[in-house]
Parts: sequence; structure tokens; C-alpha cells
Amino acid sequence: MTAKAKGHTLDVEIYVKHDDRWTRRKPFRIHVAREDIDPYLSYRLISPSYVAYHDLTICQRNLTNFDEQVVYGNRLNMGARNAHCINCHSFQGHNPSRMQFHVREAFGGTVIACDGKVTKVNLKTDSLISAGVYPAWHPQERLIAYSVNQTGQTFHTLDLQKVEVQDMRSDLILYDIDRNEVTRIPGRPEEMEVFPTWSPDGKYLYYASARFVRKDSSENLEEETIRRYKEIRYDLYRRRFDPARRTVGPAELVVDASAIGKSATRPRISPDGRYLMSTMGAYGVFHIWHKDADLYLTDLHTQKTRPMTEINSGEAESGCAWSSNGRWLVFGSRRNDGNYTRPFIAYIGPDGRGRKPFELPQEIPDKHRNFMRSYNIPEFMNGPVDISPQAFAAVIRETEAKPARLAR
Amino acid sequence: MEIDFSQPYRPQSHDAANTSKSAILERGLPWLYDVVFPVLLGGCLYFYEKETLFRIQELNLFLPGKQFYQSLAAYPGGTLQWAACFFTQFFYYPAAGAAWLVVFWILSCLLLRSAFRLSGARGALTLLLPSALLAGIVQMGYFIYYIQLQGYYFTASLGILTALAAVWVFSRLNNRKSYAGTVWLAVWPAVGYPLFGAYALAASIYMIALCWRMPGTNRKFRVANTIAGTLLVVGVPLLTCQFGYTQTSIHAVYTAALPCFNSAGEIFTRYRIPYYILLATPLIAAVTHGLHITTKRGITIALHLILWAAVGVGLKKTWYVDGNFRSELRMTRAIENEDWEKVPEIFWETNGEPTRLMVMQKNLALFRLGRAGDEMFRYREGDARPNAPFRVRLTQVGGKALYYHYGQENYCYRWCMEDGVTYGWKTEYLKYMAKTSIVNGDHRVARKYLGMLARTLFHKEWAEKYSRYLDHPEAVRESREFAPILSLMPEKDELASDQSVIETYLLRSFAHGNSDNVLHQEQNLIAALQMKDIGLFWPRFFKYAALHPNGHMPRHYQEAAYLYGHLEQQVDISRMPFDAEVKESYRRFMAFTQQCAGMTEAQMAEAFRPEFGQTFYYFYFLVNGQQTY
Repeated sequence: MTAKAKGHTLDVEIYVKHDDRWTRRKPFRIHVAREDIDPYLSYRLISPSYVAYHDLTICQRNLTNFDEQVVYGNRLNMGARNAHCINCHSFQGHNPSRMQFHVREAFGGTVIACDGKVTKVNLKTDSLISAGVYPAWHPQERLIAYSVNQTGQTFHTLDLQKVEVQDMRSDLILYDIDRNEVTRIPGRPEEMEVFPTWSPDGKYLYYASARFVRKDSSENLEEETIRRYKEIRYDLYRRRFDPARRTVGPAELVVDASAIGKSATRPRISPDGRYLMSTMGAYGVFHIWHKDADLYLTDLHTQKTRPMTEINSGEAESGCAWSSNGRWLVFGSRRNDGNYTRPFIAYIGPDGRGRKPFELPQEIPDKHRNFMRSYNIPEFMNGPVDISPQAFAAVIRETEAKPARLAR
Repeated sequence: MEIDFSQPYRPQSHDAANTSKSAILERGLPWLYDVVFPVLLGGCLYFYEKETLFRIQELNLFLPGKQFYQSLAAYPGGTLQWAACFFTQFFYYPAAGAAWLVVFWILSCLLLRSAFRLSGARGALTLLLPSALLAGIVQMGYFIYYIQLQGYYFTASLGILTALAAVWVFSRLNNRKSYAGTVWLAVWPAVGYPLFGAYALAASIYMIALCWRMPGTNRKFRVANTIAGTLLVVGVPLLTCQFGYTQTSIHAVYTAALPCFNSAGEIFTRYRIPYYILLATPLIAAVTHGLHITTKRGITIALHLILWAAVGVGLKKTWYVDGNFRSELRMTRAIENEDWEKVPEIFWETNGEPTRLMVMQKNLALFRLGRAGDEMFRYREGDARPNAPFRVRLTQVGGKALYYHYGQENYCYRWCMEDGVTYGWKTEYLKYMAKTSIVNGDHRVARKYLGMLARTLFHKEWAEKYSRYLDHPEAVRESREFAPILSLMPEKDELASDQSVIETYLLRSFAHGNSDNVLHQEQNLIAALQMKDIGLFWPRFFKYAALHPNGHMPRHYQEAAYLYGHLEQQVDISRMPFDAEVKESYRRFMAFTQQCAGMTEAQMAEAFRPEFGQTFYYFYFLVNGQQTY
């Protein structure tokens, strides 16, 4: 039916039976886009807890039906004495055969699946703040950019946002899969760079960065960062990248969010390279907990940035991803209840205007009203991940993370 | 004697014509063991553990519908847990829940007796089944807060019942047509394991053992059954977890639906003993099938008596009895019912040193009754360690209610969320998440939790009651329950961390606060008092006096002012209108101090308690180093 209706509209009339009486609802129309959506969506299911985790799964959902499969679940390797967190799944473009995710604590490492081969590596070297955190696959090369972060969290005593997740320090690195080699991307020490993403042609590395200058170096860094948490705002930058020589150019400011009293994070470039979608809130880096966080669109041709008012809500919007044809956007939104993130999908026209977003449909229509987990990092894929959860589990359990070399 | 397995087993019908006393006794024993004994055990459970059973259902959640079922069925044995969660709800009326258990125990005993043809000395084996099942429940103590297996309190009863039912079917089929038994043995693990987990595997093992002992089964079938059964018991879990279940560890495949008794990464194996007995009993019944242990009546009676004694001693040793634990449960319930008068009464009734939770619950109740300033130090102080072999934390035990009532709604919500993730979602957590969200004005998410609770069997009314507050902030402000909580909420937002130590966090937050709200301000003063911080005390004392210009200054505040005035002499107390009794008790306290020269602090604490144990002076000088958790 929807295939036949491509480019046209479906008229919908709903009749509801209540106590043996039928009520006719106001009819409405659904416009069926000409452009297909990618067939699969991946996400991590996680309760919006603060420290505890128990049951985490990276899942893939077939968007042509209601089938949901586990790509990897942490309980596959969970014992009474060992448990691990999994996070930050990421793909090269929309290609499910090239993916990575992190395993923290027991059996820790970064799991990289590349063309059927699964490896586990340790990206932490002595001079880095941490192992890789937020990833971005280069669109063509076997290369992943990461931020490395020293992250902490504190709790609001009154604010409904409840938790504040902050970086104390962060940098960017590049990881060459074939060479198993990490390269630091040079940056100024007072800059906190995070959330790398590539332009579709792979010639620019975009990222968010906040300038945090210590006022009192005698104070503990963590305490000062917590005390001044509302002052920390991120702008969006980019650096030219030469894939052949693997060199990175100087930083160029792309979106001066702090100039308008905003903090911009999680940039994502549309596949045609024209638009940059980011999440902006009044301050900070972890907007999934910020009720004022909204999606903003920057037209990279005109350099104009505007809030996506047509798809935003009064609750947190965050973590968006473009479909491979650039006509669909999936993003996390807490609009239902302010606490649980659900994936919403919106059509984005060639003019950059969004259409009314809809929640990821479920076989049990009211599933999300009773569902105690959030959807984290939704990503479109052009097919399913065909490595089984058990195969991932075996690699995670049975292999030591191979230490990466730091390039000199 | 060859027994016809094709006929139902009715032990009481044996030798029905014999009317001698011993024959009547023999016919009556199965009834005693299979019906009367489980009923007695169920009665004891209800009589002694009413409060625990009620708390257990608060720490359970069952939601009707496919979604909840699927969330459990994603793991082997999920259906068993789903059914167990369903029945656990009935502990809302402890007698109803206990009655269900008794029904399952009786059925299990009957099936055990029938499937394994228990009679004579072996007949006493049915004692072990309900005893082990009861022991599994009454041994728990503080583990009721930490057990991760959903529906724990019914999984064993339902699991063993299912296993025995499967064996019973096998015994009937195998006797009629051996190949039918073999087919059942082959089908059962594949069907049973996903539904009942390890209990299905146990049933297969019982069937294998039984087929070797059953008369009339030829050796070919016995060998075939053993090979097929063993391969399936080993193979089915591995295969289903390799190709089906995507969230089950390879290390957990053979123990699916069995409890782990893990706390903070440590496994407490002593809690497994009832499970070893439970699972071993049918195996013993199987391998002893057909054995005539003895024909001598005296020896048979002796064996029965030995088993009775063993069961009695075992249950006595396993049954968790702790006065503080029970008082905590009762006080928790009284707080939930806002029966504030009852909380200090229960505290008073408890003998021995109280736990910090009890002290905090009592202080909260006195504060809500407006009697804290006059009475909070009249009760015995203490920091008795919760009686458990593992570390018990307030965050899991009672702490959520404390946070909720002291206006730390975000922290209450936070710990509900953390514990929901770690230990599974429970009615209690949803209730506090709903209530904190109502107080916080976060009504949309409150609606979610209330909606879930409204779908439960016994908490609909509770959900309806609190749903009335949704989108009615004026009703929240005027509510008898919420208004005091709103007064105690922090007046400005801060970023902080409780480091998982509730008491210290609450004391610090309040002691360093300086509210103009009458209720909140008194809590500022109380916390300063409890922290024995003289610098914090004076400004809060004067503010209290200013906020209550015509009221009588509560006794403990007077005692503190009188003591601090004498100790530091930085505040002129000479014109303060102290009660004569306050001055007199201070004088006597100091005079008695002279008499106790040379005593250790512990000796002094004992010596002072009878006369001064109800004063702030005693608290200040002689209650030190209290360990909170």
C-alpha cells in the first residue's frame, strides 16, 4: 500500500468503539515520501540510570516490519563476578559490515568488526586521557576518529534534569585499523574536543570543542569544572583532512554556538554535504539530560543556523543520524515523558525543512508507555549486522584486547 | 512386589482391608506428609512472616500482557519466572500467597509420591520437599532486597512442581509403552528448558534415573533413554543459547531460573543449601525406587523420626529470625501508611541495639509528629550492623523512603532507578518514582509509573489515589502527605553526590541549610544537633526561637543550648528561660561525671544510660563513632 502511494497521500479515518458505541475521529492524511528509508535501524537499549547497569543491548530493528534482534548484549558475558558496559556503537557510513563498539570493565576493549573479521583492541596508551570514546568512522578509509575523555557526573538536588555529565578534559585521536596505530590530533590544552564526525567526502573532520580556561589552578580540576558547569559551552569546528597523507589541518570555526548562548554538540553532516545537524542546549556536553536541548540545522552553503522548530519539542532532543539518501533523520527525543529517550523519525526535504516526526512504530502500540529503557544512539543501516551476538561474545570473552601503538 | 505403573498410585488403598492400628497409621501417613505437613508449614510461614511476605510482594512486579512476558521470556526459564511473579503478587494478602504455596507444595508431594512410588521408609522423603521450599523462602532476611531472580519466592515451588509433573507423565508413559517414554524424554528438554530452565533439565535427569529403576523397562530402552536424555540435557541449553537466546551467558545456561545469591560480586553459597536438598530429593527417590530399605517396622519408624528431626533442626537453623529486621519491616510499612505514631512504638518494642535505619525511621516519624525536639534522644541510639553475611546498604533497604520524606526527591528517584536496573523493577520502586515525580511536578513521567501500577492486580487503588494529583499542583501543595515534603525540599539546586551514604548526606544537607520555612528550619536545627556542630547550632537555634516566638522551646534544643553555653561560653545563656528540669538534669549529669572518673567511655555509657540516656547530654558525650551504611 505504501509502495503504491509513494509521492501521494493516504487518507486515514479512524473509528473507535467504546461501550458499544462507535466514534469517528477527525480524518487525517499521511503523505508518503518518494524516497525510501534505510531498511535497518540500530540503537542501544539502556535504562536511564546514572551509575548502575545490568542489561544492555545493542539492537537492530528491521524498519520494514517489527523484527528486533540483538547485535550484542552484555549479559552474554555476564557472571556473578564480572560485568561490563557496552557503548558507542558506530558504523562506517551505513554499512553494517563495518562497525565498532566499546566494552568497558570486564573483558574491556574496543570491538571492531570489519568485513566479517572481529577484533578487540585497547586504544588506551600512556599519554592519552582514556581509551577511545565517541567514535566516527572515516567514510572511505579504515580509519576511526575518536574523542578521548575524562568524564564525571554529579547529581542535581532539585533540577528535574537530575544528572550532569561533564568532561573535565578531552582530546581527539585517529585510529588506523590496519596499522593498529593511534595518532593524536594536536589541540590546545584549554580546548575540550569531542564528538568527531566526518564530512561525506572524508576531507573534513568536524567536532565540538569548548574552551575552558582554569580560573584557579590551585582548585581541583573536577571541582572547578563542576562549579562552573553552566559556563562550559561547545562550538563546532572542522579540520581539513588529507586521507592520503593522514594529515590534519588547523581548526576552523563552523558554528559559533557560544556566541548565541548555546552549547553545540554531536554534529552530523547530511550525505550530500550541505547540512550540519547538531544538538544545542544552554550549556554542557551531554544534552540527552538537558530538557532545553534541541536540534539545530546549519546550512553549510549559507553558514546560517536555525533551530529545527518543526521537529523539536519542549523536552530533550539529541543524537541524530541521517539516512543514506539524506531524506530521513532519526533522533532521540524525550518528548513523551521527559525521562525516556525514544527514536523519532522525520522526513527532511531538500530545502532542509523537516516534516512532522513520528515515533518508531511498535508491534505493541503502547510498548513505550511501559518500557523502562531508553534508545541510545540511533543509526540507520543499509542492512543487518550479520555477525551473531554469540560470535561477538566469544571474541570479547576469549581474546585479550590488542594494545594499539601510539604514532610518534 | 511389582507395582503397576499404568495405574494411579494410591498408597492409602494398600491393604485397605487391614484395620489394625499400624495399618491405619500407614495409610494415614501419606496424608500427614503430603497434605497436613505442607499446610502446617504454610501456616508457620504465614504466622511468623506476614510482614516479610507483604514486603516481598512490594519487591515484586507483575504486569499483564505480552510485553512483560516477553521481557522475561528472553531468557531460558523466563516463563517460570513470569508465573512466579504472578503468584508473588498474592502476598499482598500474606495468607493468600501462603495458601498458593501450600497448594503447590501439596501437589509436589503427591506427584513425588506417585511418580516415584514412595512408601515405607522412602515415604518420608516427601517431608524434604516442602521443607526445602520453605527454607528457601524463610532463610532470606536482607536478601529480599538483593535477590535478582524475578519471582524468587515461587520459582522453586513452581519449578519443582513442573519437573515432578514431567516425571510423573514419563512414569506413566514409560510403563505403558517404553518408546512413548523415550519420546517424552526426548521432547521434554526441548520444550521444557525454554519455559522452566534448570528445573526442566532436573526433570530429565530424574527420568533417566527412574527408567533404570522402573520394572518392565527393557535394557535397550534404558540405554537409549540414558544416551538421548544425557545428550539433550547437555545439548539443549548449549544449542538454544548458541542459536536462540541472545542475552544468556554460556556460564549460566545450566542454572537458568535458579537463584545465584550474589551480592556485590560475591556468591553466598550457604543460601543454596535448600536448593541442593530440593533438587536431590527426587533424585534420591528415583535411585531408591524399588529398593526395600527395610521390612522392619521399628527401623522404618526410626528412619521417619530421624528425618523429622533433621527437618526440624534444619528449618530452625535456616529460618532467619532477627528482631531488628522485623522491626524495620514493620516500621517501613507504618511509614508507607503514614501511621507515624506507630513507628516509635515499634522502635520502643524492639529489644537490643537498633540499626541506623531504625533510628532514622524513628527520628523521621517523631519529626513528622512534631515531637523530635522533645523526644528524639529519649530512645536508644545505636548502629547495630544489619544481620546479614553481605554488605547491606540503606540505599537498598529503607533509604528511598527516607529520601522521599526528607524532600530529596531526585535522590529517591535516582536510587529507585539504579536498583530497578540492578535488581529488576519492583512495585515499591515504581511507587516511589511516581510519588517523587508528583512532588517534583514531573507529572508526565509520574503518569507512566501510575499507569503501570494501575495494571497490577493489587495496586490499582493506590495508583488511582495518586493519579488524582496529576496536573493538580494545588492539590499536591495542600496534601497532608506532600506538603511537609515540599517544605523540606532543597531551596536551590546544587550539584552533589551522596556517595551512597544516605544518613551522612541528609545530615550535611540539612545542617548546612538555612531555611526560613518553619518545618525545614527545624530540620536544619535537628541536623546540626545530630552532627554536634556547635557553630552550626547557634544560628539555627536562634532562628528557631524567632520562628516560634510564642512556642515552648523543645527540651532537646534547650539541653543543647544549655550544654553548649556552658561548654564554650561564647553565647550568653544567662537570660535564656531554660526549664528547671533541663538545668537540674545538666547539674546531675555533671555531678555524676565526677563519680565516674577513671571509667572507659563504654563503661560510662552503660553507667549513665539509666538516668541520662534520654538526654542530649548523653548523646553529645557518650554516643560516638556511629557507623552508618
